[in-house]
Amino acid sequence: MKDSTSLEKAVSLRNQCADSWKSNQLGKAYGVVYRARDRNSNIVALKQIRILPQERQNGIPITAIREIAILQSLRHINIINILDVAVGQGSENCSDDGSERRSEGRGLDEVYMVMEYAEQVADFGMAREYSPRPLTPGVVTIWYRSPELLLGTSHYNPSVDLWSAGLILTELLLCTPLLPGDTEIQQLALIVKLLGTPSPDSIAALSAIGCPDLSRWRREQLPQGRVDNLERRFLSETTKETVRFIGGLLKWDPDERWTAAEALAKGRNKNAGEAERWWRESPREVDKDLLPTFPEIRNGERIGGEMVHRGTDKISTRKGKGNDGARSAKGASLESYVFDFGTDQMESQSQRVTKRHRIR
Amino acid sequence: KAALEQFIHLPVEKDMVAYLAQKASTVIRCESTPFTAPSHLPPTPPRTPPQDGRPRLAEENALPSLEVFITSIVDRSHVQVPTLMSSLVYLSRLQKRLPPVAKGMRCTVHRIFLASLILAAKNLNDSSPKNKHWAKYSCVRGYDHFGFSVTEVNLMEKQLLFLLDWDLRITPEDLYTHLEPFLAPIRLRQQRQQEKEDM
Repeated sequence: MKDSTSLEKAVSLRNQCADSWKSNQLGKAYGVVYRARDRNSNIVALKQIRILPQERQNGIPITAIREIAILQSLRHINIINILDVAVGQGSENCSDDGSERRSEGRGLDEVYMVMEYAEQVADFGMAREYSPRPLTPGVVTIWYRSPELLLGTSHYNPSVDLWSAGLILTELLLCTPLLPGDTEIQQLALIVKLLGTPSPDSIAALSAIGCPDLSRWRREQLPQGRVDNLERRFLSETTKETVRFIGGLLKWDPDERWTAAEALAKGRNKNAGEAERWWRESPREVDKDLLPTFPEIRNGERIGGEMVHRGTDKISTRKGKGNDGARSAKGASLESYVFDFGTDQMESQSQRVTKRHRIR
Repeated sequence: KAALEQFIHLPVEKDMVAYLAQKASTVIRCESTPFTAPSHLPPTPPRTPPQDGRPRLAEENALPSLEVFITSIVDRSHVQVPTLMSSLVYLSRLQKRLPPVAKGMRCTVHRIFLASLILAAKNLNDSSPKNKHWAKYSCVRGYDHFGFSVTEVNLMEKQLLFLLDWDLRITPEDLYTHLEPFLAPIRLRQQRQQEKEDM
């Protein structure tokens, strides 16, 4: 049955785009990404953005329109190239949940983005061009959200992305999210636990850029005298230079945070110098082709205690209501991670890691 | 650049709407462009082909001119100059991609303009009216039978995206080119001011 689905998809897509067909589901956040083959047999990534019935009155989602425009204007070896876009009509059995959607699925619009298949940055669903004016607060997945955003500012700048980058680096080292908070307050508490109580200077800086929730947070939630645990947390995992690099990105004060140029060791100031030492240190960068590849963790399913990854060439046959199946699979696979954050934190952290799947 | 900076803060003026209407009407030839022939009595209304399924004589007669249509949308949607005038870029981009023989229905230009405006609004703003709101904004007072449904709005949006190949990028150069008629006088004024200050 799933085979006929992919065939059907191929037929409907052939008319509009690069003749791709879904062959493997790769990831799922706001859209579903598939590994597919175009008509020249090249492997491509196919991102499907489904438009739900209740969203049909909005037309093509603003996020899809902007994501595509931004991807088109970016050309960089580490950023995925967009090859083609098509709008399709979802047929009833191309939805993951099979019979579930059979009745209402007919005629749903879907936007397909055909992209290069490579390990590159690919998701620009929330991207925007920077301009120095008040911007919408409440952006960025909460775990990667910088302090000033958590405190509700609309006067932020690209430094929020450097904060996120720092956290992603830690996640690569730990193989698990470092600060998986559920709410803004909890997220801030996790940051305090990691970086310690912010200095009066940092508080003053946050106050100067206008953080509406700052004074209330200080009054009601901010613990005093907490120490910076970053080094303690990471020295067992990595080198001193790496800790310094992470520390440069995870700064309370956005102006103190390293800039992208500094982090890339471009320039001559102190920060760039420290970054340079990190880049020079072993292990050095490796050519992309020499890196090992891993199966998409979220595609994993735990069957009889063993992790089973969906084959690369077979289409998922799993059925289920919504994300129930996926959720338990994720929860199970993450239980095997080891936390060495001290016993009490270990408990609360692993709790949170399971929790995060409930909020998805 | 300074002229552009000043231009985007201006309120929407009549001459901008007129210019947009004129540009939009050149994108594609229509059966009868209401922009050039506003209130001429149609001699014999064109026979609506049967497959269209809805010969609407009364409604067809009540097609607002492009200028009226654009003015009404601007009023209802409170769209600002940057968004409104960026739709110019899409209009001319579309014109370049359409074959010169392309011909539209009477309200094709209205549709093209609305779709350009919607895409400009979505691309340039963090939040934008939903298509159901745009459908509401497309009604014009005094033209009871005119206006687009959400389905029509969704379709025109999709079609324009397809025709533009999803290329919604707008470069500073695009703006300098397409807004030149408005930028030139501002620049001149700024130059004069500068000269005065220098003296």
